Amino acid sequence: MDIRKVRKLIELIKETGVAEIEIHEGEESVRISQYASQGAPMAIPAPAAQQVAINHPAPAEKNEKDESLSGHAVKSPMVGTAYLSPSPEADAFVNVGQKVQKGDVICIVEAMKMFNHIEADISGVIKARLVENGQPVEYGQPMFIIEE
Amino acid sequence: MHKKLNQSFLDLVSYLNDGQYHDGNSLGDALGVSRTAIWKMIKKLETYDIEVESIKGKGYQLKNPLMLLDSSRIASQLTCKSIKLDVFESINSTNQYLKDNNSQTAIHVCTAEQQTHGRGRLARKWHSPFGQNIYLSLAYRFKKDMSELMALSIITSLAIRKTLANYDFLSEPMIKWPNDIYYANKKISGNLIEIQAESNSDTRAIIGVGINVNMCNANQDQIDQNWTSMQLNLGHAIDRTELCITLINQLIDSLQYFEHAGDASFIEQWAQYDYLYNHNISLIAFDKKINGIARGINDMGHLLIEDTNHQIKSYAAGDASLLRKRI
Repeated sequence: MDIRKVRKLIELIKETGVAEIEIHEGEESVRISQYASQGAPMAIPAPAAQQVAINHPAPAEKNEKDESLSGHAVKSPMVGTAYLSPSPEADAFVNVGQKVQKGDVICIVEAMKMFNHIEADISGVIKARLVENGQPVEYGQPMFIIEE
Repeated sequence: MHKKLNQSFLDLVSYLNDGQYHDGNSLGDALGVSRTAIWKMIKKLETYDIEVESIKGKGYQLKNPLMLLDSSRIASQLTCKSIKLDVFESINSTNQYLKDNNSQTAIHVCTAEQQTHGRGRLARKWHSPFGQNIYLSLAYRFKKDMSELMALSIITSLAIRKTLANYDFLSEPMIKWPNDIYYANKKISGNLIEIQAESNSDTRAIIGVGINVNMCNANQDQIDQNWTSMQLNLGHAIDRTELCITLINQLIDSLQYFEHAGDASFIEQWAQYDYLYNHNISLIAFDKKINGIARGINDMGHLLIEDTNHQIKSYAAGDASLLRKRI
């Protein structure tokens, strides 16, 4: 799911004061809770339907679909700036849906003018990209979801 | 893509360095190669923008002496002996070469007379004319995690600065946070560090260093910032081979110290040579611009900026520049 859409949803939830939104789009889904642990709106990958959206009875295939966003998160090892391609003109290292091998470089985090090549730490399929090119990232912030 | 410096090319240049005319036949005899081979090497010099005067009947003359890197002299004077050293006549980029050639040797150094695709941060071009400057990359393995190497650009900049300070500059070369060396308010050196994870949880840092050494003219369209070179300030040409030796030895010394003793001492050293310190600066980070007074760095190497409310905050990223003179 496009991260900009998620941002829009976060803005929406902030404005309306709704506690939680869950959106399904094709095979992907995301649930945004307003009053999570830090009390700030945040996007979290929807886990398997332990918490079924109240007003929408879950379709039969929901379990599988929701799991498409669960998986292994590749996190930023430092505070910095995320880059999705080796240079501004180049193609992205990886795209959502693509297979990666453990050790493949999937993005760069720049900190202190150093370019840290971030590798997939497991083999699998890129299920989601949670950062934009040039976006600041925090220590431990999930950047990609890989499903084994 | 990359060509090693060959011995007859080096010999030819050293013959021509006396500034006299030498004809193709006697050069060929002296070097043990054909006259055609000499002609080809002269053509090659011309493709590198080296001015060679060629007069029928008299021969070839080099307009200005050309001091090329002497790889055997470099190899013989390195204090650390377990180094793989590659000296190229021309290469796309020294960092790229080390990225593509992951040597098992603990330390791998690559330097070249010319880079065809020299680059800085975000693929910005680094002007790399033949035979004039230092373009050098050093790959070093750390038994540390990426997140523990935050101070590496600070350590590297301090090592380069110390190398330059061995020369008789009128004032101290300074460091603009975190990775540019400035002299007389102009950039004289920069570095670009790329970090790779290794399978055995080691980390491999590729430290690329560019120093403007004997370059005396370059158009503004070749370099988009205010630059200077060692020769422009010292008033004479610098032996780049010697500079290479000092630089490699200093870098390895600093990196080994950083690896084993940690990095506690860098903040004090930094304070002495901080180009931005107590100046009004502007930091452009992502799409934000922060103005304030530079107050040095913290133990992570992050830049400290004091805002108008006297709040000091630290920054890990951004392009810093001076706004005006010391306040």
